[in-house]
Amino acid sequence: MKIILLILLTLSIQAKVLNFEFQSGNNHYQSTTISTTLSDKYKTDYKTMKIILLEAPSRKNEMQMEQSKILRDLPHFTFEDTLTIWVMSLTNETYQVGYHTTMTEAKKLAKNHKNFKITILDSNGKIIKQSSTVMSSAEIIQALE
Amino acid sequence: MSSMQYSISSELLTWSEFGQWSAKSGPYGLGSLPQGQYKVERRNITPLTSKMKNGFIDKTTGKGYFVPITPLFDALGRDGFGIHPDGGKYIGTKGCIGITSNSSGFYQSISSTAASSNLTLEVIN
Repeated sequence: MKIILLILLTLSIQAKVLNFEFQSGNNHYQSTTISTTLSDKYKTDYKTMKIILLEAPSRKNEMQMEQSKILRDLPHFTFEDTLTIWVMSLTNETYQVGYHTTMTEAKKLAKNHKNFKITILDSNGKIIKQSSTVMSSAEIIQALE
Repeated sequence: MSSMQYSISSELLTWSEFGQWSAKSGPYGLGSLPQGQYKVERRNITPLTSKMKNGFIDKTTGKGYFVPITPLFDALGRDGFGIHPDGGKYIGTKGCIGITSNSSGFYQSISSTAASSNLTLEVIN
Protein backbone atom coordinates (compact mmCIF):
# COMPACT_ATOMS: atom_id res chain seq x y z
CA MET A 1 0.00 0.00 0.00
CA LYS A 2 2.84 2.35 0.95
CA ILE A 3 4.58 1.63 -2.35
CA ILE A 4 1.42 2.40 -4.33
CA LEU A 5 0.98 5.67 -2.46
CA LEU A 6 4.62 6.55 -3.10
CA ILE A 7 4.23 5.83 -6.82
CA LEU A 8 1.05 7.93 -6.98
CA LEU A 9 2.78 10.78 -5.13
CA THR A 10 5.77 10.60 -7.47
CA LEU A 11 3.50 10.59 -10.54
CA SER A 12 1.54 13.57 -9.24
CA ILE A 13 4.77 15.52 -8.66
CA GLN A 14 6.07 14.60 -12.11
CA ALA A 15 2.85 15.64 -13.77
CA LYS A 16 2.69 19.03 -12.06
CA VAL A 17 3.07 22.03 -14.34
CA LEU A 18 4.63 25.24 -13.08
CA ASN A 19 3.52 28.24 -15.08
CA PHE A 20 5.34 31.48 -14.29
CA GLU A 21 6.53 34.64 -16.02
CA PHE A 22 10.13 35.75 -16.27
CA GLN A 23 12.19 38.18 -18.26
CA SER A 24 15.60 39.17 -19.55
CA GLY A 25 16.16 42.77 -20.57
CA ASN A 26 13.05 43.83 -22.46
CA ASN A 27 12.03 40.29 -23.35
CA HIS A 28 9.27 38.58 -21.40
CA TYR A 29 8.70 34.83 -21.30
CA GLN A 30 6.35 32.21 -19.88
CA SER A 31 7.65 28.86 -18.60
CA THR A 32 5.00 26.91 -20.51
CA THR A 33 5.54 28.61 -23.88
CA ILE A 34 9.21 29.57 -23.97
CA SER A 35 10.12 26.63 -26.21
CA THR A 36 7.80 28.00 -28.91
CA THR A 37 9.16 31.54 -28.41
CA LEU A 38 12.76 30.36 -28.81
CA SER A 39 11.92 28.03 -31.71
CA ASP A 40 10.42 30.97 -33.61
CA LYS A 41 13.50 33.12 -32.93
CA TYR A 42 16.31 30.62 -33.46
CA LYS A 43 14.65 28.25 -35.98
CA THR A 44 15.66 25.31 -33.79
CA ASP A 45 13.46 22.65 -32.21
CA TYR A 46 13.35 23.42 -28.48
CA LYS A 47 10.96 20.58 -27.51
CA THR A 48 13.70 18.95 -25.41
CA MET A 49 14.72 22.17 -23.66
CA LYS A 50 14.85 22.42 -19.87
CA ILE A 51 14.38 25.28 -17.41
CA ILE A 52 16.24 25.44 -14.11
CA LEU A 53 14.35 27.65 -11.66
CA LEU A 54 16.36 28.75 -8.65
CA GLU A 55 14.27 30.25 -5.84
CA ALA A 56 15.67 31.99 -2.76
CA PRO A 57 15.06 35.11 -0.64
CA SER A 58 18.20 36.84 -1.94
CA ARG A 59 21.59 36.32 -3.56
CA LYS A 60 23.13 36.18 -0.07
CA ASN A 61 21.16 33.03 0.82
CA GLU A 62 23.83 30.38 1.49
CA MET A 63 22.06 27.55 -0.35
CA GLN A 64 21.48 29.83 -3.33
CA MET A 65 25.18 30.72 -3.37
CA GLU A 66 26.21 27.08 -3.19
CA GLN A 67 23.74 26.03 -5.90
CA SER A 68 24.71 28.90 -8.19
CA LYS A 69 28.38 27.92 -7.89
CA ILE A 70 27.50 24.34 -8.87
CA LEU A 71 25.55 25.61 -11.87
CA ARG A 72 28.33 28.00 -12.91
CA ASP A 73 30.90 25.20 -12.61
CA LEU A 74 29.04 22.76 -14.86
CA PRO A 75 31.02 21.93 -18.02
CA HIS A 76 30.89 25.02 -20.27
CA PHE A 77 28.60 23.60 -22.96
CA THR A 78 26.18 21.72 -20.68
CA PHE A 79 23.54 24.43 -20.98
CA GLU A 80 23.84 24.71 -24.77
CA ASP A 81 24.08 20.96 -25.40
CA THR A 82 20.92 20.33 -23.36
CA LEU A 83 19.10 23.52 -24.49
CA THR A 84 18.81 24.62 -20.88
CA ILE A 85 18.13 28.03 -19.41
CA TRP A 86 18.52 29.16 -15.79
CA VAL A 87 16.00 31.51 -14.17
CA MET A 88 16.66 33.33 -10.90
CA SER A 89 13.66 34.01 -8.67
CA LEU A 90 14.41 36.11 -5.58
CA THR A 91 11.68 37.31 -3.23
CA ASN A 92 13.63 40.18 -1.65
CA GLU A 93 15.63 41.58 -4.57
CA THR A 94 15.54 41.74 -8.35
CA TYR A 95 18.26 39.93 -10.22
CA GLN A 96 18.69 41.91 -13.43
CA VAL A 97 21.71 40.43 -15.19
CA GLY A 98 20.02 37.35 -16.63
CA TYR A 99 16.70 35.51 -16.77
CA HIS A 100 14.74 36.47 -13.67
CA THR A 101 11.26 36.76 -12.25
CA THR A 102 9.92 39.91 -10.67
CA MET A 103 9.81 39.94 -6.88
CA THR A 104 6.00 39.71 -7.09
CA GLU A 105 6.23 36.54 -9.20
CA ALA A 106 8.94 35.18 -6.89
CA LYS A 107 6.66 35.67 -3.87
CA LYS A 108 3.82 33.85 -5.66
CA LEU A 109 6.15 30.95 -6.47
CA ALA A 110 7.51 30.86 -2.93
CA LYS A 111 4.14 30.81 -1.15
CA ASN A 112 4.71 27.22 0.02
CA HIS A 113 8.28 27.69 1.13
CA LYS A 114 10.28 30.51 2.64
CA ASN A 115 13.83 29.56 1.88
CA PHE A 116 15.39 27.73 -1.05
CA LYS A 117 14.13 25.58 -3.88
CA ILE A 118 15.54 24.33 -7.16
CA THR A 119 13.18 22.99 -9.83
CA ILE A 120 13.99 21.52 -13.22
CA LEU A 121 11.18 21.80 -15.76
CA ASP A 122 10.68 20.49 -19.27
CA SER A 123 9.69 22.61 -22.28
CA ASN A 124 6.02 22.49 -21.27
CA GLY A 125 6.67 23.61 -17.71
CA LYS A 126 6.26 20.12 -16.25
CA ILE A 127 8.36 19.46 -13.17
CA ILE A 128 11.09 16.88 -13.82
CA LYS A 129 12.90 17.23 -10.52
CA GLN A 130 12.53 19.47 -7.49
CA SER A 131 14.49 19.86 -4.30
CA SER A 132 14.55 22.11 -1.26
CA THR A 133 18.20 21.21 -0.71
CA VAL A 134 21.16 21.88 -2.98
CA MET A 135 21.34 19.53 -5.98
CA SER A 136 24.70 18.09 -6.95
CA SER A 137 26.09 18.56 -10.45
CA ALA A 138 25.55 14.82 -11.09
CA GLU A 139 21.86 15.10 -10.13
CA ILE A 140 21.42 18.15 -12.34
CA ILE A 141 23.16 16.60 -15.34
CA GLN A 142 21.10 13.43 -14.95
CA ALA A 143 17.87 15.47 -14.95
CA LEU A 144 18.93 17.48 -17.99
CA GLU A 145 19.79 14.47 -20.14
CA MET B 1 40.88 53.82 -27.48
CA SER B 2 38.77 51.81 -29.89
CA SER B 3 35.19 50.87 -29.16
CA MET B 4 32.96 48.04 -30.24
CA GLN B 5 29.25 47.88 -29.64
CA TYR B 6 26.99 44.85 -29.39
CA SER B 7 23.23 45.17 -29.67
CA ILE B 8 21.34 42.28 -28.06
CA SER B 9 18.08 43.02 -29.88
CA SER B 10 19.56 43.52 -33.36
CA GLU B 11 22.21 40.79 -32.81
CA LEU B 12 24.94 42.91 -34.37
CA LEU B 13 28.52 43.45 -33.28
CA THR B 14 29.76 46.76 -34.66
CA TRP B 15 33.34 48.01 -34.75
CA SER B 16 33.29 51.27 -36.67
CA GLU B 17 36.90 51.01 -37.88
CA PHE B 18 36.49 47.48 -39.20
CA GLY B 19 32.90 46.46 -39.86
CA GLN B 20 29.86 44.69 -38.55
CA TRP B 21 29.12 41.04 -37.75
CA SER B 22 25.94 39.10 -37.03
CA ALA B 23 26.27 37.58 -33.57
CA LYS B 24 24.13 35.82 -30.94
CA SER B 25 24.31 36.14 -27.17
CA GLY B 26 22.19 33.63 -25.25
CA PRO B 27 19.67 32.05 -24.99
CA TYR B 28 21.26 29.32 -22.81
CA GLY B 29 22.18 29.52 -19.14
CA LEU B 30 21.22 32.91 -17.76
CA GLY B 31 20.80 34.21 -21.31
CA SER B 32 22.42 37.12 -23.11
CA LEU B 33 25.26 38.99 -21.49
CA PRO B 34 24.24 41.95 -19.31
CA GLN B 35 24.16 45.47 -20.72
CA GLY B 36 27.08 47.73 -19.85
CA GLN B 37 30.73 48.47 -20.54
CA TYR B 38 33.32 45.72 -20.96
CA LYS B 39 37.07 45.66 -21.34
CA VAL B 40 38.28 43.62 -24.31
CA GLU B 41 41.25 41.62 -23.05
CA ARG B 42 43.37 42.07 -26.16
CA ARG B 43 46.47 40.52 -24.57
CA ASN B 44 44.63 37.34 -23.53
CA ILE B 45 43.19 36.18 -26.83
CA THR B 46 43.28 32.45 -27.57
CA PRO B 47 44.57 32.61 -31.14
CA LEU B 48 42.99 30.96 -34.18
CA THR B 49 43.22 27.19 -33.85
CA SER B 50 41.35 24.01 -34.71
CA LYS B 51 42.14 22.61 -31.26
CA MET B 52 39.27 24.13 -29.31
CA LYS B 53 35.98 22.84 -28.00
CA ASN B 54 33.40 22.46 -30.74
CA GLY B 55 31.32 25.35 -29.41
CA PHE B 56 34.10 27.83 -30.23
CA ILE B 57 34.73 26.48 -33.76
CA ASP B 58 33.38 28.08 -36.93
CA LYS B 59 31.84 25.20 -38.88
CA THR B 60 32.84 26.76 -42.21
CA THR B 61 36.54 27.23 -41.41
CA GLY B 62 37.06 24.48 -38.83
CA LYS B 63 38.87 26.98 -36.62
CA GLY B 64 38.02 29.02 -33.59
CA TYR B 65 39.36 31.62 -31.16
CA PHE B 66 38.36 33.26 -27.90
CA VAL B 67 38.55 36.96 -27.08
CA PRO B 68 37.90 37.42 -23.34
CA ILE B 69 35.79 40.39 -22.24
CA THR B 70 35.51 41.59 -18.65
CA PRO B 71 32.52 43.56 -17.33
CA LEU B 72 33.49 46.97 -15.92
CA PHE B 73 30.49 46.79 -13.58
CA ASP B 74 29.10 44.38 -11.03
CA ALA B 75 27.75 41.47 -13.10
CA LEU B 76 26.56 39.71 -9.91
CA GLY B 77 28.81 36.71 -10.32
CA ARG B 78 28.43 36.26 -14.06
CA ASP B 79 31.84 36.02 -15.72
CA GLY B 80 33.82 34.10 -18.33
CA PHE B 81 32.36 36.09 -21.21
CA GLY B 82 34.09 36.31 -24.56
CA ILE B 83 33.73 36.81 -28.29
CA HIS B 84 34.12 33.70 -30.45
CA PRO B 85 32.64 31.98 -33.51
CA ASP B 86 29.22 30.50 -32.73
CA GLY B 87 29.92 26.78 -32.98
CA GLY B 88 28.45 23.84 -31.13
CA LYS B 89 25.38 21.69 -31.65
CA TYR B 90 22.95 24.59 -31.60
CA ILE B 91 22.85 28.22 -32.59
CA GLY B 92 23.44 30.62 -29.69
CA THR B 93 25.63 30.76 -26.59
CA LYS B 94 25.57 30.76 -22.79
CA GLY B 95 26.10 34.53 -22.77
CA CYS B 96 29.22 34.96 -24.88
CA ILE B 97 28.98 36.85 -28.16
CA GLY B 98 28.93 34.10 -30.78
CA ILE B 99 29.73 35.42 -34.25
CA THR B 100 27.55 33.80 -36.90
CA SER B 101 28.89 35.47 -40.06
CA ASN B 102 32.48 35.96 -41.27
CA SER B 103 34.00 35.15 -37.89
CA SER B 104 37.45 35.02 -39.47
CA GLY B 105 36.99 38.66 -40.53
CA PHE B 106 36.56 39.68 -36.90
CA TYR B 107 39.66 37.71 -35.96
CA GLN B 108 41.70 39.40 -38.68
CA SER B 109 40.48 42.80 -37.47
CA ILE B 110 41.38 42.27 -33.82
CA SER B 111 44.69 40.67 -34.78
CA SER B 112 45.60 43.79 -36.70
CA THR B 113 45.43 45.91 -33.53
CA ALA B 114 48.41 46.23 -31.22
CA ALA B 115 48.53 43.88 -28.23
CA SER B 116 48.64 46.98 -26.03
CA SER B 117 45.45 48.41 -27.55
CA ASN B 118 42.86 49.73 -25.15
CA LEU B 119 39.72 48.13 -26.55
CA THR B 120 36.26 48.44 -25.04
CA LEU B 121 32.87 46.97 -25.78
CA GLU B 122 29.51 48.50 -24.99
CA VAL B 123 26.57 46.11 -24.76
CA ILE B 124 23.19 47.71 -25.35
CA ASN B 125 19.71 46.30 -25.71
